[in-house]
Amino acid sequence: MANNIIETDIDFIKDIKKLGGSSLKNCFQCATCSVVCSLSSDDKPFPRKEMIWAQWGLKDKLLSDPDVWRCYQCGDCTVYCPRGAKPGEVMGAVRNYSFMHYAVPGFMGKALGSAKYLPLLLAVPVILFLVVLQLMGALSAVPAGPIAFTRFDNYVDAIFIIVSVLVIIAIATGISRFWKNMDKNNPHNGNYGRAGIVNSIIAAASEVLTHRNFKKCDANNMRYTGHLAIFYGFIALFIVTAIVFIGDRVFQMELPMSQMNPVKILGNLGAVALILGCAIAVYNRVSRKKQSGESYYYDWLFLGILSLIGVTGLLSELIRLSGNAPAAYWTYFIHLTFVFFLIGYFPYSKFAHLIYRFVAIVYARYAGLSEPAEEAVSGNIETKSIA
Amino acid sequence: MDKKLGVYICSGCDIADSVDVEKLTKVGTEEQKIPVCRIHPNLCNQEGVGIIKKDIQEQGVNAVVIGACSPRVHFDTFSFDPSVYVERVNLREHVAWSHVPKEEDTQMLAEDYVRMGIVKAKKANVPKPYIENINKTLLVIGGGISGITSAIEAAKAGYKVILVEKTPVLGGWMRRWYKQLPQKPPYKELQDVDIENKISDLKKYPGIKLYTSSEIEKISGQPGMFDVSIKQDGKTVTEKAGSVVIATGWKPYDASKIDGLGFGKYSNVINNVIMEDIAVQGKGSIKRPSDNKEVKSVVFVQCAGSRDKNHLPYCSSVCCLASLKQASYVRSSNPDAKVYIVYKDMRTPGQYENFYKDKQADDGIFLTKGDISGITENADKSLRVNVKNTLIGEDIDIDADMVVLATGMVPATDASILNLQYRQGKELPMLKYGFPDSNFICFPYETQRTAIYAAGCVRQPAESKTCKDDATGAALKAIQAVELESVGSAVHPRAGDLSYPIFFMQKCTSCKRCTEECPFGAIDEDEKGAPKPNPNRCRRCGVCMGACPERIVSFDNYSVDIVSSMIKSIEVPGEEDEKLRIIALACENDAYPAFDIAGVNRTLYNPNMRIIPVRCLGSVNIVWIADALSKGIDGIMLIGCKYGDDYQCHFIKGSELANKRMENLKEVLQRLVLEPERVKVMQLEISDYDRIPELMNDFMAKVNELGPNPYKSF
Repeated sequence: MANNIIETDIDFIKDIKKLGGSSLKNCFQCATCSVVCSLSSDDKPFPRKEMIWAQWGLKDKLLSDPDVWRCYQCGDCTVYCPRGAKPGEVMGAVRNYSFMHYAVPGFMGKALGSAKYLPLLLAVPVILFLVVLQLMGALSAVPAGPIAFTRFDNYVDAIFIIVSVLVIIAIATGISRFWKNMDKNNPHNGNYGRAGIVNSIIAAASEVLTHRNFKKCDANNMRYTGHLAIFYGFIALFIVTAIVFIGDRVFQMELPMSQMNPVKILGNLGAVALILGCAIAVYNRVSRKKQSGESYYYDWLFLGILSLIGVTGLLSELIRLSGNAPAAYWTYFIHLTFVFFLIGYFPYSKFAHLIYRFVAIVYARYAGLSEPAEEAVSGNIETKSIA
Repeated sequence: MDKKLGVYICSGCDIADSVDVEKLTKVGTEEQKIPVCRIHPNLCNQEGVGIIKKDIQEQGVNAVVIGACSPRVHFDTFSFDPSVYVERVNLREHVAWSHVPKEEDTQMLAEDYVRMGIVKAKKANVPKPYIENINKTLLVIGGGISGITSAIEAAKAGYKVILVEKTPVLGGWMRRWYKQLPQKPPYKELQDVDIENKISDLKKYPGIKLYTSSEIEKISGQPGMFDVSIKQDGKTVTEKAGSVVIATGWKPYDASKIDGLGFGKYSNVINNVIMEDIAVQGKGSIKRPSDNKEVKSVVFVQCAGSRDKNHLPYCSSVCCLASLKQASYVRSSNPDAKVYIVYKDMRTPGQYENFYKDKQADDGIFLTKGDISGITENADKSLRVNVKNTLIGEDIDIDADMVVLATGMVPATDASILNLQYRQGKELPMLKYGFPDSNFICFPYETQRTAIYAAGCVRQPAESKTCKDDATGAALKAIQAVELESVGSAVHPRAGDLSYPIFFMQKCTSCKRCTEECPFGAIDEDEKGAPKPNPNRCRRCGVCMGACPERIVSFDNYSVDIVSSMIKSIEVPGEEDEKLRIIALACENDAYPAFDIAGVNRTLYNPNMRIIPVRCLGSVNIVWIADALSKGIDGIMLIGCKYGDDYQCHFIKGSELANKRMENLKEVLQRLVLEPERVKVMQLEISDYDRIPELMNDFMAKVNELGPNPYKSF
């Protein structure tokens, strides 16, 4: 008989508690959470098993568990938990731990996890920008002529390009470690690899784009609405930024665009969606604690940065239209600082959930791990009537 | 003394709407020739009671038959001078409220009840109690937390106590504990063991006489007048006592009997009692036995031998708490230490749920359901515990410095404790797990020996807080017993009953049925085997009366003759009337009240049945069945409490005995060419009142099928 000596880790428990799972020890394994979960599968239901793994500090199991990423933290389990163990938040905490755990280099993960490093993290882009602007001699005089942020971009583009390359390397390393870990610690069943990697990616993308499973969440459906707005707002802005970058560099496109340009309209709509989504998310976290659960620094940091990007972006545009050049450029400076924060620290912040969740869903499909039960939808109706 | 009867019919509470009360009184005046027969619209009010009192004073009425509500209500309203016999006829619950009004059958039913009431009042007498000189001292056996508490509580209430402890010191197991479970809200923090305070408290009461290093040599006599011989240091001392609390406690289950757990084989596998010793020796530092190294990881194995049909089939209810307590010893001893608890189910009764929650929140305590599939010793004397069926989702192995087996509690009833000089044996009869108890559902602390009460872990596995509650309750029962005995009254469940069985010895054949069948060992025997009753040991159930083939046992107000006469007074319609007559001998404890509740709920049932209350089905004498059948009664139901392992009989084996006796009767009936199905024993709980119509109908249908009793016309 092979030995399976259990390795419990008290420090890991303490970390998870700090990252949002403070009540994880309350769980007494009744499995109400798995029953009410709309996404849990029939044969290996979560989050009951994740709860005892967390209680025992079984780090390896949790960090290689794709089910952790199938959870959208709708709060159904947390609302129905008879012991106040808040399984949804524990799942969230494990995800937060994963970002830091898989982050390369490791110290960056720690830096993003603690408020005391926030000034330092903000100072990095500010100093970088100031240095570049100083070197280019752009700090002493506001550029003449019509206000066009593309002039500003010209100075800092190099920074963003370098940072983006580093980020891609870092995230690729992290993801590769994540995939290997999942592959090592999950049993390979008969369905392993049967779906093929391409099909798995397509299926995962479809799930993410439609928010299909997220929508099944019941107790905290407001979260779904907020997330959908942020998600599509962000995608719209990402597309607009790409068009502008390529348009400017490759096709010497005239900037800024007219307000009637479809790309501009898409950008403005994206900004509004992002800000609205963030507003919903903030409202949800502040006033609907029972459903959304406790919010921690890690949650607020990400949401705050996103909101600030939206607000400063829109402000920059409005001030630009008003014609106040110094104010417009300085607002844009702040806007880009936050953009740097988001992109540069992407692999270490909660923003990385985008890629980790996607990869976990791809892995689950590729490895033939159980799918959410079809009956989940009807089960959902019942829990609603109880509520 | 000459009897002068008075019959009083109440026409209130729907009775007059249901039956013709005028006609009812004629049963008294014309048929039974009762001079005083009155109707009142509200017999229970002052005026109604007043007319009865007036007749008692002015007319010399000394036996009152009251046809009104159930005897279970207004018993205080209808209580008169102690010399006046009162018989209650249940016209409300058993007639007006449970049968179709103004029907001929309903009227016949009411008339039969009045007839039976009058006949009983004619035959029965006001009981003359058995009163002796009673010693009210309590004997408490066992000087652990339960015994100490019982002694203190009784002394506080002003009673003298004799406390007998086997060992040289008081305190029992509690002396060995390092800490005790929280005793007060919020039930989270462990407390220092306070047994020494209890002992010094005990010594403040001069009424408590202490015998340490002592054992009971023998107890003879009966409650209120026990002669107790105590053996101390080889000498015998004699004392007198009125009642007994037995608090002899428990022993841990012998874990070496359990295969595969390594107790007695590996030095670092211990039980929960040894764990306390280790904590005490190390003053809180937990060191393992093999090398005195401070432990870094400990596995607690719950239900070690418990809830296992090969060992202790029951749950001891305290081992989960003990392990949680000891887990916190380990965690306080070394904050880096890890504690694993492998359980079947965590059971922390009552407020101790809070303690469980608190320990569960400790980061270093790991809990899982699971079964231990093996324990092996590693080279360094540490242990590898194989666990299967876990909540982790796979079989796991845990490496630990020490393994603690949470063994259950075995009641200390195996040794000779009481040495009762009773015909039925020296010790208390046991329930199936070795715990003494007379009825575990309804009567805590009761045993099958009157005025001997069990408290603490000898009664049920418990932690110290429950033991203290138990001990207080048992002390109170023991006090009640001596007080009731001092006025010649029965104890629970017939508290207040002043009657007791009287044996007409001239006709006794020394068949020993009564001495063998008495559920309480109340009857001893002389050399020839003739019964020697001990009224104070008696619970007045009448099992001896039901057992006696010579019918020599009777109570002043309950006898074979009284019930026979009642049965014979029933008017049985002739065969041509095509009306069946059924009698139901109904247990007063559960079945009779169930009929009352059916009435209160206006449940209608067959009016061809006559209910006759009996003290216990065990008191039913076979001659009643013979009398009923020869009278032409078509069917007989014996309705009593549940019997068997989970019996609910208030006198332990009354309903079971009745069932056995009726089985034996079947043969006799067949010889008489009577269908044995005419006699049926039924079990009815007090909450089963809604089943009554169905039970009646089924039985009626069966009897209908058999046809009328062939002896009807004789």
